[in-house]
Amino acid sequence: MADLTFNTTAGSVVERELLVLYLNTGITATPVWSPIGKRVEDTSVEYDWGEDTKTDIFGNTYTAFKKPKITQGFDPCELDAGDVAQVKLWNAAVKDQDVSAMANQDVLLVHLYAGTADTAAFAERYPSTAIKPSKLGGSTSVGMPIDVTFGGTRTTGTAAIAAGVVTFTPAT
Amino acid sequence: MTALEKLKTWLATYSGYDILSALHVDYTDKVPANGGVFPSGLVEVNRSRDILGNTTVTNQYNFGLYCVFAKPPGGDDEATINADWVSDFQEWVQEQSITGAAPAFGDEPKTEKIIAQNGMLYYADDEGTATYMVQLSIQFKKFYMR
Repeated sequence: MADLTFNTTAGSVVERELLVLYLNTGITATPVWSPIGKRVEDTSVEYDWGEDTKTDIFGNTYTAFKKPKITQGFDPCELDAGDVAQVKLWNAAVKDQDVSAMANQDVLLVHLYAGTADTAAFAERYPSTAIKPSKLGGSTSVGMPIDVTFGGTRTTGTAAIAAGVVTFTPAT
Repeated sequence: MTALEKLKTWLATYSGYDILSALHVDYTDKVPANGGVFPSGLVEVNRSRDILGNTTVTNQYNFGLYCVFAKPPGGDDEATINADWVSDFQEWVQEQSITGAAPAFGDEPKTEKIIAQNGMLYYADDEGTATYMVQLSIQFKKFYMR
């Protein structure tokens, strides 16, 4: 895949809402992509590159990386009946304690700022992603913070968004 | 219904409201047993945006409630009745807000807070009337979905 360009205005920062993680709340063959992070004000995708740096006997330094372990935390994630992704995660984790389902969630990370806006934005699908709630509760509302560890065979492609419906097309 | 209309309608449900012959807006008469609501605008307390682009705003309406009651100079009995009315009104507002009986002004009624505070004698004249003032604030949330 050739290098992509950002579709945002040069000189302006990329709005946070242009990086969205979606959970498949449908089935694998016909996914329904539901956004994660309603009412969450600050979260980042974190990359652990397994950095290994060595200095040889001649004083030269070499660094090696591994494929990244990618994680993301969402906090406080207050429960909301209108949040489809959250309802699915609550059922898998809190109601059923289905650890297999929790460890094999299908997610799509969409970079709406890269590629063609709205019709062909860069996206990456991770079909075996582990998502676990770390807490349930709070003071005035019930929050369910979650930790996401991206996993499975990564598929890149493009995402189109029309009227809130996301369609992912794998790169050929 | 505007926020002011909603407020006036709700205040009329207070059991001690019948002592007032009228409740005006931005005005009180100089005769005893009338009141006035004085709006002092809306304050944006907080604005936050989630990572999906949805915005939550916490707003606060502020009002002054002025009531004119009979109170002859040195009339302790009348002053006590008036002070009790003010205190009882403030407790009623608190109870209504806590129990959810008060009207909703925003998009998340359960988190709304209405406070009546600092009820006090505002002004007394030599002609047998006194004006009491209570500060009313209504804090509520509005959601703007992307």
